[in-house]
Parts: sequence; C-alpha cells; structure tokens
Amino acid sequence: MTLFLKIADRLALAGAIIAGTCLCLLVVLDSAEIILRSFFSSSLSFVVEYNGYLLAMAFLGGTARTFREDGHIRVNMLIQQLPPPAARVLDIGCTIVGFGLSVYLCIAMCRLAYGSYAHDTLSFFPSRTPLAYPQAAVSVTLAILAVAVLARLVRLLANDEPAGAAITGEDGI
Amino acid sequence: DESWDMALPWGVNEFHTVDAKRFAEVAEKVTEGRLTIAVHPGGALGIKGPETVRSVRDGVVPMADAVMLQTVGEVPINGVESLPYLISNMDDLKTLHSIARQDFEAGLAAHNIKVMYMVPWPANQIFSKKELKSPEDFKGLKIRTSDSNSTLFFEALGATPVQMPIADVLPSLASGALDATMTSMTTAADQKYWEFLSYGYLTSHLWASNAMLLNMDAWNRLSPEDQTALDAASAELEPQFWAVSAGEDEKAIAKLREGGMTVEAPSAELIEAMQEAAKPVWDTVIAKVGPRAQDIVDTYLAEVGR
Amino acid sequence: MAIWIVILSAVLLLGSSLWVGLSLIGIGVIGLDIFKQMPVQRLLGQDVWSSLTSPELVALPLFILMGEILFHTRLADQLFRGLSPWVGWLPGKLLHVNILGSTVFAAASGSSAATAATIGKITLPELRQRGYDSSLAMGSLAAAGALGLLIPPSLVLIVYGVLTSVSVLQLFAAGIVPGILLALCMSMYVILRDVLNPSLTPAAEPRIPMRERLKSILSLVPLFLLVVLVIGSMYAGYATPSEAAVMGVFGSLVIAGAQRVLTVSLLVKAIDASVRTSSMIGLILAGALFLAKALAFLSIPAQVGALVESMSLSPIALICVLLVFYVVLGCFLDGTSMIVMTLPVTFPLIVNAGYDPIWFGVFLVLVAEMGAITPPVGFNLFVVQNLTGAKLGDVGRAALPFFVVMLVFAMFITIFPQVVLWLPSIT
Ligand code: NA
Ligand code: NA
Repeated sequence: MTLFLKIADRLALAGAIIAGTCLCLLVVLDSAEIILRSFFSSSLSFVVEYNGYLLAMAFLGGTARTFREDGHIRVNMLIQQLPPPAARVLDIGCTIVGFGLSVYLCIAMCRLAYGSYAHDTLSFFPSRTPLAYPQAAVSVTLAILAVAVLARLVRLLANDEPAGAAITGEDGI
Repeated sequence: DESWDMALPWGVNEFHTVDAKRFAEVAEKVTEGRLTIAVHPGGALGIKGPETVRSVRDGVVPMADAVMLQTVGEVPINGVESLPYLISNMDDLKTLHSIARQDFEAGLAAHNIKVMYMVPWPANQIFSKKELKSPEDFKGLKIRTSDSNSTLFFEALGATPVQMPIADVLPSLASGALDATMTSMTTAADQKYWEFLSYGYLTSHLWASNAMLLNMDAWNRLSPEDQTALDAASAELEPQFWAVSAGEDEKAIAKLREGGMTVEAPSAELIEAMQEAAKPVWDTVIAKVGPRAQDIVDTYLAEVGR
Repeated sequence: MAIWIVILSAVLLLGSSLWVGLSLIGIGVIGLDIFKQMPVQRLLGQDVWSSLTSPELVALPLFILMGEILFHTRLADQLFRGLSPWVGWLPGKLLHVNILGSTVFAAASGSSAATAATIGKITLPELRQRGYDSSLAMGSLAAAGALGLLIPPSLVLIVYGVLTSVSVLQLFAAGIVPGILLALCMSMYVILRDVLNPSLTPAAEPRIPMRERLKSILSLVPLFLLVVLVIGSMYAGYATPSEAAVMGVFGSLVIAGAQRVLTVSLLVKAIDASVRTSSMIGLILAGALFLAKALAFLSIPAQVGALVESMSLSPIALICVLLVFYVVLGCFLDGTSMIVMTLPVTFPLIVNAGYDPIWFGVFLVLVAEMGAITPPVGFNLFVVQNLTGAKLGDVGRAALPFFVVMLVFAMFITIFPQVVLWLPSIT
C-alpha cells in the first residue's frame, strides 16, 4: 500500500515537471516566433499548433500534484459545518465520486486518442502531425490524476492523513 | 420520431447559417414533422472545424457543417478543390464537383458519413495593407493562412505565411503584426476589413466548399419514404444555396468599397506569377493524396479546356 | 425538465464539496446521459481536448508565470512606495492600488483571471502586511480583475465581434469609457467604506512633501517599462494579443536580472507555482467549457429564449430579465462560454428590441464579469482564494459588494447607453 502511495506521488511529481517544461517551451517557442516574424520576415508554421499541445500539457500535467497538495477548489461550506465523523464520511464519498469521474474523464481522452490512432487522423495544420501522440500524452496526465484521487481515497480510509487538515481549509483548499 | 442537433461554427447572420435553417425547415415539412432539426449556430456546441468529421462519425452530433478544406486530416482528397488557381469561377467549381463529388462523398462515407449538400464559399481573395502591384511586392508579406495548401502557395510566392488563432487575426491586422490575409469577400465585409486594410484583390486563387455532414446511423433510422423525401429536398435546395453564395460576393464587394477599400482585379503580371507559384503546390498535394487526385485534376483540366 | 435535473445535480455535486472541475463535468454528463441519446464520453474527450488546446488561452499561464517571477522581485514594494504618496491621502489609501493596477494591466491582458492573478500576486501580500482589511483587499482585487475584459484588448469582445459581425475596433472603443468609469465606481465604494469605518485601513501616513513625492515616482519606472513593453509590443505590431504575455515574461526576467535576484531556484519556484495555479484553473476551465456545451445540447438557452420571447417584454424589462438570466448562469459558467452559448438566442431578441449591438457586447462583457465573482464557480474568486488561502465563502462575501456595484453599473449603462456608444461614434 505504501508502495502504491509512493508511486502515485512520484507520478504526480513527474507530471508537474512535464507541465513546467511545457510552460518553458511555450515561452521559448513564442519568443522565437515573435522575433522571427518581426525582424526576419519569417514564421514557424508549427508554433500555433504546438502551442495548443503544450498548453494542454501545461494545464493538465500538474493537475495530479495540485490534487495531492489539496490545491484544487471545492465548495466546502457543507463539509465545514458537519461534525468530524460525518465530515470524514462525506469526504470519503466525494473522493469515491471524484475517482469515478476522473476515471471516466481519463477513458474519454484515451478513446479520443485511440480513435485518432485507428483512423490515422492528422492535424489539418501544415505539419500534419498524427493527433494520437499529443492526445495520448494528455491521456497519461489524466491517468495520473485518477491515480492521485485513488491515493487520496486510500489515505483517507487508512486514516493516514487526518481528514481534518483537508477539511478546515486552513491551507486554502 | 427523430430529432437531430446540427452544429454550425458560423455566426447567426452568415449565409451558410441561413441556408442551414432553411434546410431544417424544409426537412421538417417534407417528413411531416417526423424529423426535427435543432440548429445550433455560432459554435455553441463547441465543435470546431477540424473536428467535425470525427464528431459526426462518432455520433456526437448527427449533423454538422464543415469546410472541406478542414477535413483533409481525415479525408485527404477533400483538399483537391482547394488547389490554388485550379478553379477560376463558380462554373469551374461545378465542373470539378461533377467529376469529384463521388470521391468526396466516398471518402466521407468511409467515416460513416452521408453528405446532405455542398455549398461553396465565395472565392478566397487577398486583402492587404499595402498595394500589391508586382510579384516583388509579395516578398516578405506577412499573410495569415489557415491551411496547408495556401501556406505552400504563399511560400512559393516568397511571402511569409503566418498561422495564428482566429481571435488574433483582427488585432494583428490592426497593429501591423500581419500585412495581409486571405478570406472570402463576405467574411471580409462582415468583419469590416476596411477598418484595417486598404486593398482587396479579386485573385479568386482558392475555392472551398462546405459540406453538410450527416451521421449514417441517424440517416438509417429514417423510414425509406422520409429518406427519399429528404434527398429530393436537398437536391432541390442545393442549387438555390449555390445561387445565394454567388450573389453574396457582389453585395460584399459593394459594402467593402463603400467602407473605403480599393477592391480591384490584380495586375496581369501578378496573376501570371501566382499561377506559376501554384503549379508546384499541385504536385506536392497530389503526391500526398494519391493517383486519384491526379485523375481528377487531369479530367477537370481537359473538360474546362486548359 | 432537463433544466431542473441540471440544477439538482449542480446543487448535489458542488454542494457535497466535490472538486469544482470534476463537479462541472459530472453535471454535464448526468444531464446529457439522461436526456440525450448521444455518446457523452466521446463529446467529453473531444471537448476537453479542443478547449485546452485553444492557442487563444496561451496568455493565461504565461501571465501567471510573469506574476510569479515578479513576486520574487522588489516590484511590489516599489509599486507601493511609488503610489502611496499619491493615493495615501485618499480614504481607502493603498487599496486603490488594486483597482489602479488592474485598470492599467487590463490594457495589456485580454482576460480577467490573468489580470487578477498578476496584480493580486503583487498587491495582496503587501496589503496584508501593511494591515489592510483582508476582505476589502480580496473583494476589490477580484472585482477589478474584471476590467481585464472591458478595457481592450479583450478576448471576449473579439469573440463577440466575430460571431455577430460587429466591428471589433468599435467594440474595443466602446469598452474604454465604461471600463474606466467602473474602476472609478469601485474606488468610490472603497472610499465610502473607509470613511464609514476608518479601522479598515492602517493609520494615515504622514504627508509627504512634493519633492519626495516626485522622487517616489522613480520607483515606478520598472513597472511602467514593463507595461509599456507588453502593451507596446502589441500595438506596434510585434506580438499578437495571445503572444503579448511572452513579452511580459521576458520583461519580468529582465527586472529580476536587474535587481540581481534572478537565480535558478527563483525560476524553479516561479514555474512550480505557475503550474499549480494553471492546473487549478485548467481543470475548472475544462469542466465549465464542457458544461456550457452540455447546456447547449440540452437546448436550455433556446428554451429560456423562447420563454423570454413569449413574455413580449418592454425593452427595459427584457434587459432586466436577461440580467437575471446571466447572473444565474454566471454562477456556474465562465464568461466566454456563457456568451458563445447564449448569443444565438439572445442576440436576435436584443436587436429586435432596438438595442445597439455594440452596446450589447459591452453589456454582455459586464455581466460575464459579474459571473467571475459569484460563487460557486467564479474564476476570479478562485484566483484570489489560490493567492490568499482564504475560504471560498469569505472571498465570495468580500466580492459581493463589488458585485452590487457592477449590477448598478449595468443598470446605469442601460439607462445611459451613450456612456458606451459615445466613443465608438466619434472614432
Ligand atoms: Na484587456
Ligand atoms: Na460565477
């Protein structure tokens, strides 16, 4: 069990590192495009397209680790009003539903990527990139999110992490 | 009874939207109410151009209008009508469609899609900040393109094709980050291009049609009588929609001129240079699409006598 | 029917403290699963993909990165040192920096979340440290971020212009006067609160002689240059609006370098924090955009539109009804998708009632921005919550008076449309 939790945390960290790298690549690519277009009358035809892929990774790559750090927003008025045992039950319930939804979302993205693979879908931009690749990358980040939600459930059930810390909202949940 | 959603990326007043609403009304009438179509214009369903084939194939929406040029990621042959300087006018386009429509439809049928009707956009023209007199004026011209055919074409002319998201185009034309763009006269008039650009050139260098796509499973749920009635209705409407498209150009040109834009035919020198630049693009695209594309182009050229 | 199920599932999922992004996805999935015969999961996958790969959104994480880099410089301190002699004598004192800063930054940024995140990263810690009332600080920031869309460039106004064939230049011109007036109204409210309850701000600082005041301006130079760099790159035709944020990142690196704080560890910290904020916003954005599509598939805007049309209201009553409609919708959706989704329905109603399309664009941006500060789904609230760690309810309460200010302002431009239409008419 602790191995699973450790792996989940490592994956979340890896995702965040990838997101950070994508963010830096966005800066580099866009700077290059601005300079080339403004001063060299030239343009990198793939920038707009790859901006999109990098952006999706920058948005979703870190989502598992943000979840691990309770950085995602919840409307926690109810959970704060309940007595601790009831709050814990509600929190476990939310985490189960959250796990279900994150798995559903992950499968949705995997099916999209698989569809692109099966139909050989290329981007309509001049690069003609096979869309299956960037979509698979986004699917992986969503899989890592699902693992992180499951890890939270495991922790809650094992009382590993006091539910109270997550519920009081002291650190901005 | 069937009720279908139809996704349109075009604004409420765009003539393709008006056509689609008309089709929906007629469809309801000829099926005596057994089929209703809810038209969702303005991209409200979030289905963007390049995703239309996928969405209709997977049944996310039963119906959607797509620019053929944006479907080349899934059906490469659909890009053939948009080879630069292949088509000179709407009659040419009709000729091309009479040769290649079966190929377009077969390509989409492989994705479980039926084509209800096809309607062309008025031809793509060039709109520029500065005057374009000789081929030299293309050198380094930053022009926005959104597809690979025209990107190759403008590269061959020595211009700098630039890709950018649609929301950036107007501000960039205003600020000078772009020198020029290409689109139809109707879009130019709708978006009031005279506010940023002084010249419109009737190059008609690129043509593109929209195809109204329909999921085959949805189609098969209709009774044979309703299918026949619907086919007859689209066959009747399509020429009317083409006529609308042809009429839009004149109106748009008048509006652009009224706004203060110089709209004129390009010089003979310019046309020659553009036609020259177009030929290698054909070869590149045809090589990618395959031998059938070459057949279509050859047959077409023979028929229009070029 | 569908509308009630959607509301019920919204109350259940959001209310039970399920994470907001996942809740919004859940609400859409439930509604579509029950009422539509369609492959919902396919729509979801495709929609999340196409939403989060929209290159128009690139500016959002990049402006967040710029704010995170600036946070580690002395820029915030300089901003307050430079401005305090000028606004320190006014009731509300340095709280006006939130509003003034957002107004200026709005001219560089096309989005409100980016505006709130960037300005807030600089101002909120300073204001807290100086003993300002946190509620007033949070509320004024969340609300003033809204100016990001009203003052050009504005992503939403471009989308509106393209969808309705209204001139984008005229829309931009139309946003300026209301943007500045709204900023003034917010400042007036802050002044009023401080006059009524002086304990909200720290004691007045001693009056500073003019010589010192002029000297203090010097400390504003780096910020001034940064803003000029971002805005200038856009208007001089070097960068597009979605690229301008890169210039901001570049400028912030130069400032950090000039102040000798630019280190690898600073960069890692800034990137790390940006990834965290971006993923928080990204998941909710994906959910909100999907929910908007789900509502459109359920034809809910069309039904509401038909209902409104059947009431055959007077023009002014129509605006009041639409105001209520958008405020309710704004509780759950983000501004852009709300406008895209409802425009095909509301635009014809408005034009038939005789309203000017340019005016309606500005009105819509205003109501969309009100949605950014209403719970449970308000992006500016989330940004402030993320910056301060306060509870969502507290941030929402802090923003409520500013919501009322905006509501009154919306009525004001309805009664006096020339406030909006004057500038476009002379340009
Ligand atoms: Na702005
Ligand atoms: Na809201």
